[in-house]
Amino acid sequence: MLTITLGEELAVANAPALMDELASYKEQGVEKVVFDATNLQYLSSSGVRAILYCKKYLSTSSNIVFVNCNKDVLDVFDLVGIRAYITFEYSSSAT
Amino acid sequence: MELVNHAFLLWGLTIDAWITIVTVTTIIAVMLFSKVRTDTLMLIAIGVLFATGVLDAKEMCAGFSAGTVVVTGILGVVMAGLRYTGVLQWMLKHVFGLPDRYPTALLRMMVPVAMLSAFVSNTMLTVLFGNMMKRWARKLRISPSKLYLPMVYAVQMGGVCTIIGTSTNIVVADLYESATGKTMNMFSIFIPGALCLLVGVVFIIAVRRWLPVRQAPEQAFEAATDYTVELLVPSDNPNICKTLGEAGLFHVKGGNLIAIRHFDHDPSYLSDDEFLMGGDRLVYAGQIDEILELKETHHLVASDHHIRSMNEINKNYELRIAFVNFYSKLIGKTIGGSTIERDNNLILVAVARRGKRIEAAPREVELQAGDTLLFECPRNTKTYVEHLESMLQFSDFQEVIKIGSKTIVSSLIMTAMMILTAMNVVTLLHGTVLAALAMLLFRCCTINQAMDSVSWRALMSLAGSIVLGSAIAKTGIAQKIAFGIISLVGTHPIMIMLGVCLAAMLITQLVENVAVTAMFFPIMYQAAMQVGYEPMPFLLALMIAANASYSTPIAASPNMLIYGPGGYRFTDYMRIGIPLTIIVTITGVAAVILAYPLVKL
Repeated sequence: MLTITLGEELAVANAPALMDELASYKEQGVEKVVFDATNLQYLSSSGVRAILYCKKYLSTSSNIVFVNCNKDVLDVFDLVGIRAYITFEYSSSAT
Repeated sequence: MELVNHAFLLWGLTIDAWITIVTVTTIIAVMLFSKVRTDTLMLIAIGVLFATGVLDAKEMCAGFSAGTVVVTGILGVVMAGLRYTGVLQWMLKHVFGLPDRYPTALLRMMVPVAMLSAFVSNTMLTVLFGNMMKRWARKLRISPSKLYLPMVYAVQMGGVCTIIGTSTNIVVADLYESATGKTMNMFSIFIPGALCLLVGVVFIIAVRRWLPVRQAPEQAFEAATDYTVELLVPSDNPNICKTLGEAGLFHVKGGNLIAIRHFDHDPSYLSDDEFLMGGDRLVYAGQIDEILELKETHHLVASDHHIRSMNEINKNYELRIAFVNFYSKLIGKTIGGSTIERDNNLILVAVARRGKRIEAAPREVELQAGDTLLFECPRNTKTYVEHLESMLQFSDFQEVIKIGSKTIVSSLIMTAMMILTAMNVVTLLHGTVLAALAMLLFRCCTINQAMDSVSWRALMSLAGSIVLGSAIAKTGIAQKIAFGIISLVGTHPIMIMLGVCLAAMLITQLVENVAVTAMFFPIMYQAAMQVGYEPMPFLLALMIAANASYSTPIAASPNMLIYGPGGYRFTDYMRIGIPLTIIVTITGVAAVILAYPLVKL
């Protein structure tokens, strides 16, 4: 399992770096990728690209988990049509 | 070292001479068979000759400080003044006009272009008039290919009329000054040059039907460029999460994907690896009816204003046409296999070859010289146009220049320079420096425009050619070849002149004429000296012969520049260029003999 803690935004400024980081785990048998989105306020198409990259190359069995996603980010997932491919979890500490 | 050099003689030539021969033949072979730039080759050759001790430091630098090279550089500033005050545009409007008949159009175009070319760099003039020719051809309702070739022939024939009109003349004048200490007048070559021009223009008009009618490359894109189709990806599209390639939306029947825009303003990459997301807007160019079938086959929906004119696709973008240069690194490669699009924020829309659009996926087309590429590009494109000029030649760049009082000022400056230098009131160097200063003083161009107008590459080639010419003379090669020619054609001066001119004329069809001049100057000079004649008329004949590079697109830069825009084939140049080369050379040599009787020393 790979756990990644996201900052306040996942956009063009930091998404390519995340993709590079994810690429280093390619073909290493990662079964589940957990994104801690507790602080995530903004998700752009560049961020979505990084998540799709993760789904395609790291965790093909749909084991992508977002923890503590806020409503704005969920709306983005709805718009781009990938909500169904992601599991959402909420920890007790989430506000 | 000196002892060894003189002691070791092979076929009467020293080691230095053999090093020079190997260097010169190597750079000529590389010019013929590779895409390396002429200025680079010249610098390498000079470096080799210096490193091997053939040239000393002073000789190596001589070409760079040569007066005529400096004059050529400064003339770039004068030309910037003419260009940015609209003198050329004024000419197009008022001198070219809109003649009813094609022969009249040829005459009205070739004469002023040739006159201007006597004082302006051939390459610069071809670039400036190239775009104008396209618009003029449209107004005259004829194919641009009927105008481009006569234009470059006029440019080249006009360039021969003065010492500063073409690089080859500049090289000859400079080497002549070095060898004799005498300077050539700016109009030394005028009489034979003007006669060649007259005969050449009459010949081209007489055989105008030989000029090919080729479809303008832009016409191949008319169907593709009129409209684009924008389709929206709904959030429940089954292809979401797939790449564009996997979804079959990158290469589609009847068109090409030219842009993808995601739901926000983050950059998207036009690549078959890009992921498809709900809310994406896919912009296609091509056959509207076939592209609209994607709505059914790929579950796309029409956006609110989905069929639009290409011009309104994006205010920040525009369509530009580029041609693959003759020596482009892209030849034999595909755009998809290069990073050119991503590096320069360009999007390839379509590819055409010889006026016909290629139906295959544009990014997978193996490119050839002269291919026409349609790009969607950011506006204000000067930066990448310059950056890519070694690979692609962009057209459609229109300068909007106001014609006004400065047009008259710059024309007066140019006229004054011509008169003062022709009458030997001031030297050529003084005249050009004063004219350049006046252009800047009267704000006919800005400092940046002036600097951008100086062709540093051409200056490097010129300087390098002068140094190579010196090396050929210094090492005794020229003398040896001159003896060879004399033993072959006899000691009659006219036969010698014709023999060297014939050799120069043949080689200049395949190799850049500046290099040919550098090689043949010392041979012609030595041959004239050996039979005891004043070399000046021989060298004027050489100028005519070395400039007669009309038969192939690779013979001179202007020929290459119109190859793509004219939609020409290699043989198009030969059909009219071979007879023109022969006629012009014979006329030129005859005129030289008549105008400058051969004098015994």
